[in-house]
Amino acid sequence: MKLAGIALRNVFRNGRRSLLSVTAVAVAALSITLLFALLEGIRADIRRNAWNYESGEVRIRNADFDRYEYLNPVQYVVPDYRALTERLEQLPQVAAVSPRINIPAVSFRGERQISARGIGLDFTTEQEYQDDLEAIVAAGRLPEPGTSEAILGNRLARELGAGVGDTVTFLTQTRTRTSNAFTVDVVGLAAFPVAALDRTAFLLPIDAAGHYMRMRDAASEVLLKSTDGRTEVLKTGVSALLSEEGPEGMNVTPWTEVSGGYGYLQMADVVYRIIALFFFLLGSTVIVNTTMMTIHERTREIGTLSAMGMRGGELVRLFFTEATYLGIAGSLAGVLAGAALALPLQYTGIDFGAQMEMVDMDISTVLYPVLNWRSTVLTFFYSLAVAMLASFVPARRAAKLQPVAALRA
Amino acid sequence: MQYRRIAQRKAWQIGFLAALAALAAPSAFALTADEIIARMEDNQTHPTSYIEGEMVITDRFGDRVSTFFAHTEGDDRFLVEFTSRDEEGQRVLRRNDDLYLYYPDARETIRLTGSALRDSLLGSDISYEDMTGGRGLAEDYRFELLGEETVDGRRCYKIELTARGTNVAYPKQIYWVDSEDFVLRKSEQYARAGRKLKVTEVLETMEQDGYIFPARILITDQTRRSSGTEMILHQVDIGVDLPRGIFSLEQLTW
Repeated sequence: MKLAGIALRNVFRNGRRSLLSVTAVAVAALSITLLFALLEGIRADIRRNAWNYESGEVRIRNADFDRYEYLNPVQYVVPDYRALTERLEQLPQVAAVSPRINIPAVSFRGERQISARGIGLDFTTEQEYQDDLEAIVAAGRLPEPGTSEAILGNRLARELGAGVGDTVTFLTQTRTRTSNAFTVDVVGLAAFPVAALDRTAFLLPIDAAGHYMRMRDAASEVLLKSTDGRTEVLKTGVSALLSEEGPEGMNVTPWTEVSGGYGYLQMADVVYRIIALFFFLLGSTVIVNTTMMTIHERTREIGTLSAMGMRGGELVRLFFTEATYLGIAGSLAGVLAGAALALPLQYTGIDFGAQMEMVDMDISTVLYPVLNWRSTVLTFFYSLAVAMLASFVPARRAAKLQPVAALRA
Repeated sequence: MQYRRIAQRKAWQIGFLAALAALAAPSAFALTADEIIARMEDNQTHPTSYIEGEMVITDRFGDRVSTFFAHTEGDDRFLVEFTSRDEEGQRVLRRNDDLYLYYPDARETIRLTGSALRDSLLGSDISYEDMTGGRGLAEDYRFELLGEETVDGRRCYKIELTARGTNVAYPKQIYWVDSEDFVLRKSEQYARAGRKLKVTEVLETMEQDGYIFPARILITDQTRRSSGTEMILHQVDIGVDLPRGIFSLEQLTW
């Protein structure tokens, strides 16, 4: 207790230097808190976009399609998707099912060809699959089942020079590997969260898509979401159902294996942790510097303390405790400031706009940081530990000073 | 438009524009390359025709068959309508140098221009570009007689066609023209760098009304793996009365 009191008093003996140390640790902790919140936000965003638009949580697709995907072999389908959907919905692990028909399309504007990607959805059940489906509607409305209506991505509509009330004709390749063209009535414009979708995607009723693509009750793929986020359990259940009742030749793939964004996240997780380490190392150099300056300035005092009988270990503990106080103050201030900044951003989001438009990944243009309390608490202890460790070497040097030499200094 | 000047004779056109060699070919002795090409073109041109046939399209995923009928007039007007289940009602109209596509599911016709002409017809080895041109090869190519070769037991003139400019689909072509009936028995198309792009072979011919028609033609796009399109003509009627306005855009969408 006495040592702790001396250490606390020493912290305030040179307030400016202590403030500098606290600030260095705080800035590092704040940056890392924000970085981890952003990373958590990207993680949630990629998962939401992949589940809604790319791979589902688990995807059923014809194995031959996966095999020849680079050739876009639209003839490899999931047969009789309606019956399959009904059976899948009976599985306890399944929260929602979304059969999809994908349409590789092109529209002609003079000599320009504008590439697009149609997604045929069952709009009567899709609301269960995508809670926020209505949220993408920027103008007009969603298409009605049984019609030739479509909702176009905002940028695609701009490229095509089309708006609500217009018609657009697309040329595509059908399941029978021949061509077909069809005209859709534009009833809405969509603000897709992902720039790539906004640039290329249009949604239309699955029955119309099936007719245009000559799918004959088949779907391109069936996407599923689990009730509890246990992807592997969902995959196992779906695989068991398919192996028992068919159809044969299907791949059941979890999103973690097919989402490009997920791979990016795995890599980013490691990279950001390394970046975090560098931040702390930079912050810790200030603490090392502060402690060394303190020891240098207080050499005589150290000599006096040693002459009065304070042992080396106690000296180490003294400086270590001082660093701990600085570390606690800095880490706490940094983490709290980071949380204070991240919390409102959770709702307002950060608009990366044009920077994200050319990113060919399922990352939204507006990202919403998510404050993960576990990682925030970890950041606090992480920065505290680095701050304490940083003081260890100079404190050891102080402990090794000879009292006589220190008194003469 | 660039493609307006594309003038090439290939088996596709032989099929749809089929006006083939007169039986009584005079002695071909000492004919020049220009004269041989002119004879070949004369044989391929006739006032009107009605054709029924099918295309067997093969790719790495298997075979599929598309059936069609076509009306032609001269060498620059035709209307092809597909009758097979998945393409039923789809039409391709060539009117002079313009090419239009009609699909029953679309409310507008598609006029093909620019790079779209290089797209494939129904995923076959025939590009839309191959269906244009057809008027006066001499306008776009220089001819050189390379000699004579036997193709499937038929004595043929081997003629190299070199483009006069850059506004053609194939800078170089080689034709094998039958020395007796002046039917184009085989042709090869090359890119500027010398890469072989397409090969067209006449596998069978049929004779009707004094004309000889290619009845089976194999077209292989050399740039695609395991690819080939066989065009089989089942019926060819020459000099038919065409429905009024059959080549009009209004009629196309009916």
